[in-house]
Amino acid sequence: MTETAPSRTDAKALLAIEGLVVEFASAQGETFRASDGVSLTVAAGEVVAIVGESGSGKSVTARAILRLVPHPGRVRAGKIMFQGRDLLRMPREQVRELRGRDIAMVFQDPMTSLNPVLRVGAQIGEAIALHARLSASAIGARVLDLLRRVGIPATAERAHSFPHEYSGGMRQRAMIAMGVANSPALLIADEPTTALDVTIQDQIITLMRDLNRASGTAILLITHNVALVASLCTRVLVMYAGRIVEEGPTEEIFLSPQHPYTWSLLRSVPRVDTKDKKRLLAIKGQPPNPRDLPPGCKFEPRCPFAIARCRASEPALETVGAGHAARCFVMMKNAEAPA
Amino acid sequence: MAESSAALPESAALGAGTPTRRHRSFAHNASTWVGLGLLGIPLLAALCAPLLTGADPMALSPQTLRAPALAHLMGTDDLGRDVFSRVLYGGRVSLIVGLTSALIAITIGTAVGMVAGYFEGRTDEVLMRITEIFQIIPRFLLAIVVVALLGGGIVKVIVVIGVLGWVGTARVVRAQLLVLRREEFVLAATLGGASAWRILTRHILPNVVPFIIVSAALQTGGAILTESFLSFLGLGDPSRPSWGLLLQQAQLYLQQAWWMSTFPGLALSMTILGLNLVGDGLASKFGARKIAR
Repeated sequence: MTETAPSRTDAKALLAIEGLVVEFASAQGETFRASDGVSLTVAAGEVVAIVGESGSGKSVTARAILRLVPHPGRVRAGKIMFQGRDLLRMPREQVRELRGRDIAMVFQDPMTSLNPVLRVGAQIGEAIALHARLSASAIGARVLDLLRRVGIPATAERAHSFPHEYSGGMRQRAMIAMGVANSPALLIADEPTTALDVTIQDQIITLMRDLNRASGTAILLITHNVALVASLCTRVLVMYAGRIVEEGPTEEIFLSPQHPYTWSLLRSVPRVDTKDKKRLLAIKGQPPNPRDLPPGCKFEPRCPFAIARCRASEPALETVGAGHAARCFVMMKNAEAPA
Repeated sequence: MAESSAALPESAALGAGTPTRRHRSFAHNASTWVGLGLLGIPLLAALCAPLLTGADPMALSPQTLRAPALAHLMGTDDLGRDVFSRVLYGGRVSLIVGLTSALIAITIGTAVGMVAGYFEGRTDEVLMRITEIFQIIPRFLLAIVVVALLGGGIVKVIVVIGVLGWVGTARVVRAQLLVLRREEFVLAATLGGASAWRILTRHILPNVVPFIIVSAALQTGGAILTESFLSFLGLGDPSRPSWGLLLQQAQLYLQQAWWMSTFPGLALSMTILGLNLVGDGLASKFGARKIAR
């Protein structure tokens, strides 16, 4: 494997995943890899996005960081270094202490991630109480402070509300309040806005950006929403079929994507800020079946620029610029427009 | 001001809910309320026994097998004891046995069901096999054997009924756990660093409570019935007559003294029916249709 992206050898990285392989075995004994040799880093205070279609392995990768790969998946290889310690080789009890204190997570659907029978304030309070010895009144005060920080009005009363008395946006705010309750070094946000409508999405993004700036919490954002990435993240990783196919600074990824998949992904999103009226491009075909991957480049069957070599062997992640790497033989800068 | 006060009744009426919703909740509640009514009479009577009768349930008298009259509202039995007072005090015994043994059963059942459903895998396998063993044992038969061997003290009866009765609750709770443990809020709690114990007691238990309540209502009825059955077979505690024991003693006099069997039987039926109606009513209210007993 060719190590290319310079950020990967960054010694100061808060989180450094190296060669992570997560394997799922079916009852028939077949195995497939949801995450196949993923390497990535997140520096302290950085906002990094993992972008990809459903099933590209982005959520599994994120869950592996907290050692919660859904059953029957197993981490087969790799290292997950967090603050210099390998999470995969850490005793269970220590991982549990880390969860919610140093690494927190916000989920896609705020409707189901709050317990319906507990008051919102009590749930946030518990997130604090699990990791800090504080009196009930001190916790109460911190809960109110957190709710205020995530912009929930009339907090004293709202803390005593049940989740069903909250709107979707408020619930996601409450989830974020829970996530940042212990000022974690890293917040993993797994499609935090997917279940929300557009205006609320924007508020949640603004909130996350403010929290990142105010407290220096690094954010690993998992999404398929490219617009979200542009406004929030400094670096983008594009995943396809369990692999990182391109990574680089947000601006470069947007302005000069090198992997045809990234290019197609960007072309498939409508834009209001450019004048040119290019046709929206749908990526043809389906994401590959992880049990039956093509032998060469995994994107080759859907790629409009594929050449013979793409079918035979899989390209390595190759540097194309400062901190910018892509896994492609052709690269967009050399590509001929498709016929 | 006048305007706003005039608008008030209308908004209050709006808050009362749509008609369909009211009808549905009434259908749930009808069974619950009828059940509570049926249950309430014997329950209150047993609780207020000393206020309702001055007669000692154990006091013998020469007036044997008297028909119901003003002096003895439910007549007297073969030893001249006041049946009314015996039914009231007998109710105390039956209800105490029912409630405490149901409490034992519910506690064991909830613990087993939660652990089995939450941890799954081998733990679940082992616990469910044990549950199945308890399920296939004929409950009455084992209760008879145990009580016959150990003697029929009230505490022993309670423990035996409780220990034999947790299977239904365990299965219902486990089924709920299999659903709940995949809920995202459980994952969220896990990610927040909560331990298994904390997740079970604080996050999952409150979600299971409705099912436990329903199970408890049905369980109490079953326990009272089991106790009556044991007493009816002569395995009860003769120093603490329950409804079942009264029925047993009435057997010999079915033709001479109908009141000896009718009144304890009526009290027993009302209680059991009441508990079942409450249980069913709550079950449909909580949307817990398939409650195993």
